[in-house]
Amino acid sequence: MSYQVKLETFEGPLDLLLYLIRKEEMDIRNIEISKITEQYLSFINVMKALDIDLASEFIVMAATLIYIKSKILLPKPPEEEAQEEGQDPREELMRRLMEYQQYKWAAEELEKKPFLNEDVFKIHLLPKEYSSDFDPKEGLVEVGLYELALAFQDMVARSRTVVGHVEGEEYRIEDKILEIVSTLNQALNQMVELKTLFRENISKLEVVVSFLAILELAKMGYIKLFQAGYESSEIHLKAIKEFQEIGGDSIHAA
Amino acid sequence: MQLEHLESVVEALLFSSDQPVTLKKLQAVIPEASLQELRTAIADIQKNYEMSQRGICLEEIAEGYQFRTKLDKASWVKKLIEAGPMRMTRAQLETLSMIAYKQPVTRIEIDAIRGVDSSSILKILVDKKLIRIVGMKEVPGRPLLYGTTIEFLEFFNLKDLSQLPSLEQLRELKGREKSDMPLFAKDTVEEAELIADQSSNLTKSSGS
Repeated sequence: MSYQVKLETFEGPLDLLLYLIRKEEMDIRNIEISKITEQYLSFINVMKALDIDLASEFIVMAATLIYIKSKILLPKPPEEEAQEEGQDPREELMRRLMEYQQYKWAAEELEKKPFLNEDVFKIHLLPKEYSSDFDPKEGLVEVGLYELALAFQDMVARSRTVVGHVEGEEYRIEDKILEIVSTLNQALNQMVELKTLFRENISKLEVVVSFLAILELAKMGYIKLFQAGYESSEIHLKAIKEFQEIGGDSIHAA
Repeated sequence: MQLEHLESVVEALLFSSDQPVTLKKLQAVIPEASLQELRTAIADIQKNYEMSQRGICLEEIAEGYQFRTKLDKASWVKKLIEAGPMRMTRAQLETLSMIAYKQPVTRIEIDAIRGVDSSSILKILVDKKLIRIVGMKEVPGRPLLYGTTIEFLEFFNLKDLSQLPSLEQLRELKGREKSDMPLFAKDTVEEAELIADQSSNLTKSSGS
């Protein structure tokens, strides 16, 4: 009879190595390769004896350790010795271990923070439901495809007709999205008329790009489009979710 | 606007929002008040709640302000609130740290540090809204770039990312206290060795 045991063990070969180094009270910068290799291999043998499926990464690391060990043991040919003077075969592994170690530390610090809903709590409002297609405050209903198409046609009709020399223009949906978001932010929670997003004398290309930006925002769930029931009335936009700008902040670790 | 009156307005606004409210937003709602007045009002509210025997305090979270329960009240609140906390495994916390410090970062870069594939952990973290896709790296294959979210700051009670210790600080702080580090995987190994012993005994006895 054979068993298949699955244990929550080490996250990966580096995790295991760090554990072994710590257990032997070694310094990452000065690993006793033969001792560590021996321990590492015996752990792998235990796992094999238990019939535990080891990730291939563990085997790769075993090979790496043996390779480093052999490199240390073997005398170097004289011409190579001159070349590689001062280069420690453990260096690459050391660098990887140290990098991993510092994120382990970072994780420990993170774990010390008060967790929301575990250590600290905030006011818990029911999620804002915009599932209804009706805005009770304004008495407007959500617009459909047909109304949008009409509005688009209307905007295109109002756009500038260029006679004569045509200049190249460039508009990006990303920029338009940010532009619209900032307009909506200024309006706080109020509705914004669709028309006001299209300035006077706008070119056809800009109309198209602006429209795509509005559709994209609606698709992503940041805005909702409303209209007062009948086709000819104005379409309104309302922000329903805080917009997170793509490419947010980043910290630069020293 | 009278300062006392302003304080009560700010307090009402902060109380009614379940998301951190930024100074900018406060000023948009109360255009009569200057930024300086708003800051003073917030500082006064903070002091008020801290000093008195209150169960809540005003915290600076995700570059905004939010009322939160005080730390020592957790056991009571947990009895009332049904929603359980988010469970975080060691692997998830480590991966999250890598993203917090290295963002924007690709999966491949995280895999390289951890030495194992991270796709399933990244998916869990995205589902938990602690990280999000922030773009695509302009290299062949255009891999996705990940970064932390506002929810990340909210979850860990952080004002902004600079509140995390720098890697330099970590090395100085942690490099010394070796013995203090939890050997969280220790039990697993000892258990494994024990089971291995027992299983070899088993095979011996079953063979005889």
